[in-house]
Amino acid sequence: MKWTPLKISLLFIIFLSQLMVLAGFLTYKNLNTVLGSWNKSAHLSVYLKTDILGSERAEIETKIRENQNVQTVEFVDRDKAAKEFQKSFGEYSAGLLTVDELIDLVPETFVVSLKNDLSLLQKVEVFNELIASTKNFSGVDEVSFGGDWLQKFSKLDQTLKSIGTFILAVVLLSVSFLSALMVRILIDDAKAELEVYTLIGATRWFIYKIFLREMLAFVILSLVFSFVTLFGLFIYLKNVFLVRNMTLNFADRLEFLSPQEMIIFAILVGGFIFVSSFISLKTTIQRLNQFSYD
Amino acid sequence: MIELKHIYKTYGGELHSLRDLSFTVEQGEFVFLVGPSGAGKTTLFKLISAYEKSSSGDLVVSGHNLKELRVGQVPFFRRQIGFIFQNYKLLKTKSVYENIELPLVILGEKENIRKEKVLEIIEKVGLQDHADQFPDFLSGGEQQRVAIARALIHQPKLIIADEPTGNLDPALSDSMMNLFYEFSKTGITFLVATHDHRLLQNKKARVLSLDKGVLVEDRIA
Ligand SMILES: Nc1ncnc2c1ncn2[C@@H]1O[C@H](COP(=O)(O)OP(=O)(O)OP(=O)(O)O)[C@@H](O)[C@H]1O
Ligand SMILES: [Mg+2]
Repeated sequence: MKWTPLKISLLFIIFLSQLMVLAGFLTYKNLNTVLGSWNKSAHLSVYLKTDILGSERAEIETKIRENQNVQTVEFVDRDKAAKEFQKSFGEYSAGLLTVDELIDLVPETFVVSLKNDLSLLQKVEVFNELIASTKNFSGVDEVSFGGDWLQKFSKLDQTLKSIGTFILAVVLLSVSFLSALMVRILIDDAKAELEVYTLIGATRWFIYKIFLREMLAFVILSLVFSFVTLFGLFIYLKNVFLVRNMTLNFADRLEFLSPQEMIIFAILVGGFIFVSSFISLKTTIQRLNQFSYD
Repeated sequence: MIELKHIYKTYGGELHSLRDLSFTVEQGEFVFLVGPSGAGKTTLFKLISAYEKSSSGDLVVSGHNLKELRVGQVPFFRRQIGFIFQNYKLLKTKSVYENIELPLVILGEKENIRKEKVLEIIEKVGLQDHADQFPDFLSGGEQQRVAIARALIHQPKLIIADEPTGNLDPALSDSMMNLFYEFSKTGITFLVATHDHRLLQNKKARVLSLDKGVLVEDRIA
């Protein structure tokens, strides 16, 4: 195969379009997992007053469990809460406070988590219901679920799911159209060549073989280029997030495409380009067989 | 080799591009096809090489009745014919050697046999020093000789040449015709359409004259 400027620009365009689709998919996938993990870890804390009666505590728990969307209600007593506090902040509080001293400062809590088939948005609603039904107990000090940011992200989650799917579909369609067009141009460019082949008695399959082999080279090269470029971009961005404290956790969760995803993508793109080149070839050869003499 | 019986060809309209054409060409004959522009020479070639079907009449080429030829058989039928054109129709992305080799590749010949045959014919057309060059860097006469070598390499039964000397100067035309005559001795049938009446004077050959789609003369000149 000879690399003409047309073929190089075709390769570049196919590469760019694949990169676009892949980058879109990768972003979508990672935002989804990040949001998904937020969703899973979303919980409501009901802080109790120190002087609460055991009977009221049981009443509150029953009230919480009445809600059908509640998955688990965990009671964290003072002892446990203090230990946990020590565990997470041990390095900072070392020597300042003992567990015994902490116990008086840390309140007892109910930690409520919801069923996981709920979306973030639905969870926020249920949390608000639970707040309304528990905050009037005299033994309840405070109820909270990190409301503000959760509410914001629940909206993002919803928007992302619908807009993301839509955009991905649009990009996929336009990229398919673009590559079909480029294949068409390439084959039109090779018309003189095709004509010579039909003239000296090449069968259709002989011609298909030559051109499909060329398309295969295109598909493989452009796929390799786009995977490698995407991986480079991914590593670069991950490092950028990793060095910033604020995004460290987020960066930790970022994942590249899995081998299965790459294989599926390669098969889809390769298959599509193959089918569209096959169709263009077929119609071009048919046209040539009628008027190829002049 | 070629047998036409009452061949008509129209492209839709009233006008007949070919009208009631009947003649026979025997294996090994050398035939010139002459006539003014629009006489129907190219049209006749299109019918003979199965690019188009006649509107009516019977056309038998090398034992094949072209009316009954199926699309899938056309490539195999064409392998019995070598084509030579005014504009050469070479593959620009392949070298002289590869261009000449192509018909053998299509036939599925083995590498060593291909090499032997290409080297033999490339010397006959005097291009052995240009084997690795690409067509765009050759002169018109050299390109035409590549086209001739390609048309002849697989030893077709019939050579069809449409205005083969159109882009050549008189000296090159003569040397090309001499090549034709030489190969004609091996029993290949030649059908050469031309405007160039000078070519007819070189050798005794059969001349078919067409005018407005009608055969007006069939003589030995
Ligand atoms: N595809 C076509 N559609 C309609 N008319 C055609 C077509 N091909 C040829 N013709 C007509 O058939 C007639 C014969 O054309 P043809 O090309 O056979 O002439 P020719 O003898 O080869 O002329 P020239 O010496 O200029 O090459 C012309 O009148 C031409 O207009
Ligand atoms: Mg013509």
